[in-house]
Amino acid sequence: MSQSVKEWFESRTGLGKIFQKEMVEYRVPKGLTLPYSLGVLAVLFFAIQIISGIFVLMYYKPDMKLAFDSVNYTIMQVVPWGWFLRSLHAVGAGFFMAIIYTHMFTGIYYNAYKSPRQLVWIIGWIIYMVMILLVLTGYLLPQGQLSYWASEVVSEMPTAIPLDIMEKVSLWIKGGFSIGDITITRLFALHVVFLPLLLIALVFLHIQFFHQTGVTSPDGRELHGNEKETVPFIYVTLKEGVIIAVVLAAFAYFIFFYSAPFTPSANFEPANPMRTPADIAPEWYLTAFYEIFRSIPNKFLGFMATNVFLIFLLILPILDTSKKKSATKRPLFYFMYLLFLISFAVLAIEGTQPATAQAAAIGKIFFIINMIFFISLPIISHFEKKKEALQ
Amino acid sequence: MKFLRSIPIILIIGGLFYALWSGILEPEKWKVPHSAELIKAKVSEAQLAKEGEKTFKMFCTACHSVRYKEIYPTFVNAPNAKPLFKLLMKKNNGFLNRYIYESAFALQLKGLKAAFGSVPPDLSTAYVYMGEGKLFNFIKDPQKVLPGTKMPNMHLSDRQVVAISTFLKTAILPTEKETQKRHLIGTFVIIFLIVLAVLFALYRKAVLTEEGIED
Amino acid sequence: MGEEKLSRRKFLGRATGTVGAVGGVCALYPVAASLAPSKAAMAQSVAKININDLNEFELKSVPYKGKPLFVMKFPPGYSLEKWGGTAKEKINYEKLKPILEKQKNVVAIIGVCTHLGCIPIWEKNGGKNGIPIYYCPCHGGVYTPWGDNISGPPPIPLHIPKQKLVGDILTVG
Repeated sequence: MSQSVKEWFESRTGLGKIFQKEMVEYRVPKGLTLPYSLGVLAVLFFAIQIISGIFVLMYYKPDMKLAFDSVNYTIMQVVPWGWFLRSLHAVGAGFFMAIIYTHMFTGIYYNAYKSPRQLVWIIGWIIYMVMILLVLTGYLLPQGQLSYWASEVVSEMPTAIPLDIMEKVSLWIKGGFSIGDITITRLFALHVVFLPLLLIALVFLHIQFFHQTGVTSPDGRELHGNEKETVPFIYVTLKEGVIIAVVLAAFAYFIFFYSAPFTPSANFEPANPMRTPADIAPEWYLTAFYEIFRSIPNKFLGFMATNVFLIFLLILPILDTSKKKSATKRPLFYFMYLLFLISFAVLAIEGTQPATAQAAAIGKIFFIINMIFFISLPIISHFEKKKEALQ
Repeated sequence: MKFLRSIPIILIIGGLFYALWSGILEPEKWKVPHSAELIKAKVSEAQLAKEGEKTFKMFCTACHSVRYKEIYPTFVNAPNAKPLFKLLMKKNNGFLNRYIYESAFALQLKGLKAAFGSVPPDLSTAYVYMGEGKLFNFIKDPQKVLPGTKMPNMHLSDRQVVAISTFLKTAILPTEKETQKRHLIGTFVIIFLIVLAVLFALYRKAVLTEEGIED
Repeated sequence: MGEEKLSRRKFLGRATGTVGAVGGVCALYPVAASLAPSKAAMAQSVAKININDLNEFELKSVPYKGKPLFVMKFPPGYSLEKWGGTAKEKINYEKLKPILEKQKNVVAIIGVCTHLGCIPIWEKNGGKNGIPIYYCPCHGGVYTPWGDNISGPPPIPLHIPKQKLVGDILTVG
């Protein structure tokens, strides 16, 4: 009976075949390391964000005067388990970003941007951009002081480009001279409808593309189509079950015991358009850019420096032309990669600190170190090619 | 060897998240004095909050509201405002949102603004955004914390200040009992997930040995 | 040996699956529980009506738990015979008889159609031969002045809430 039902559906949908091919039989290299689970984790947290988002959306009011109370009073105190839903969404966003960053950094480590996976990398980069827009628009919604001033600063960002039209772009983003009802409803619509839909489509493409090309192996060999050294994906799923349970346990710790790092206290002060809070810094996932931006004492150059980082990330497949893959096989690359990570971490941490001359100096130094990584890539590639030719 | 190479990376990324999420980067500038800590240790939170509500109504409601606790400035009880206030409270189950509150008492709030330069804020969320230490020191001596502020020094005792601060805590944060409940649920959830992880690992091992797959 | 291993694998597989499924169901609980009405929404509400404000057969509709409460003053000695319509059901009529006597001919019933929740309209001369009825506009339900359903889709009479007359004040709830 159940067999015939299965056949009835299968002959009409073909979904079982796709599932069998992509989720069960799809082969991945043996000995995948832990970071290979980050993609699945990211998808899991995306799902958590969507579900918790739908539920907090049921009580949230996109309105200058009502938003703050709808979050801090209605959701946190009136709705049964509302605090849980909000923590889920706020802590989930932090975990999602952390996973995406680590996913990106391991992608660089294993050289996952190289041929034939350039498109996987580029779609991933676009996902990263969309996620930054998502967290920014989401950050604005509770209408606390940080929300308000973050959205003010971000919507003024286009004016960093010294063109007359940019003043207008900034006005168009805000829909007025300052952040108002129209700005909230506008960014709210982006946050709850447009950007998530876009993200779903992009994630689908990202997954389809790497299923087409196969994943990199940790030691940099191309094993796609190699039956001997690969295993069906279904066995990896079991390992991912372990990792998901462990990460969810950490997630639960933050939700039930310590959600403060994800709901900054300064944002519990209602938005006040007449006063900027004394210590204001963006959330940790943007502090590296923030540190670069503020340590360069020129509005336009600071803006461009931040963008240079993002553009270098995007064009990694062009910068790194060496045929060799994976940092495990490239000692020079490995060394530069460590410098890159350290500089990024220092920038991110320094960005949370008050703006002092010392912070600006640190920002400049480590920005340069960060850039050296990208600039050194063609040189390393050149040496590696030479060496290979000699052998 | 393979593992050694990943140690620095784990240290850097792990250290980054630890620093960003543990709060070590934002040391508290203002501290609650020892004498006040002693009061908190001796008296239960519920008792302090109850005392605090009374003290708050006595000293603070000339200017401030705590809307999340249905406490409004004394001007709402003036003869010209009281009927409207009572009606609004009844119609809105005690919670006046900002449209209602700021429209109904626009004149009174304007008066406060004229007297103090800005409308004295609603204190429903003050405990969180000021932090316990800053809040305590601010109530004790406003000029010390925010020089130039129009907030007068009410010359309250430590006990009164602790009580007010505890009362404001209950306006935005869960009560001690509720927090304990959340911690209990959290502990169960974490234990459950760890058990699940162990089961997954055992199952995986059993499957792999049986199928003869190395991974 | 092979059999033993197989059973171990199966056992672990089932255990993992069961524990995981239990966890999934538990995770749904807070999400579903958040949909439950909050304490404020469930707060008991009480309606108070001064019966001196009422005129005979003039409907007074007051809010009660977010829905209308129909308060009606009947003419003294008004009965089914005087009303003159044909009522198959007399459930509410019998129930209201003692209440009307106790409460100076005043009674409160919930003004929500028992079919699908619309609010019936009081038509003082709307029935056959100009007799008073409640008429629900949504699907054509008709009730007697006592709230008994006499035609159309409503399955049961209008609900009667707990009420008490003290002095001239009728308290409902």
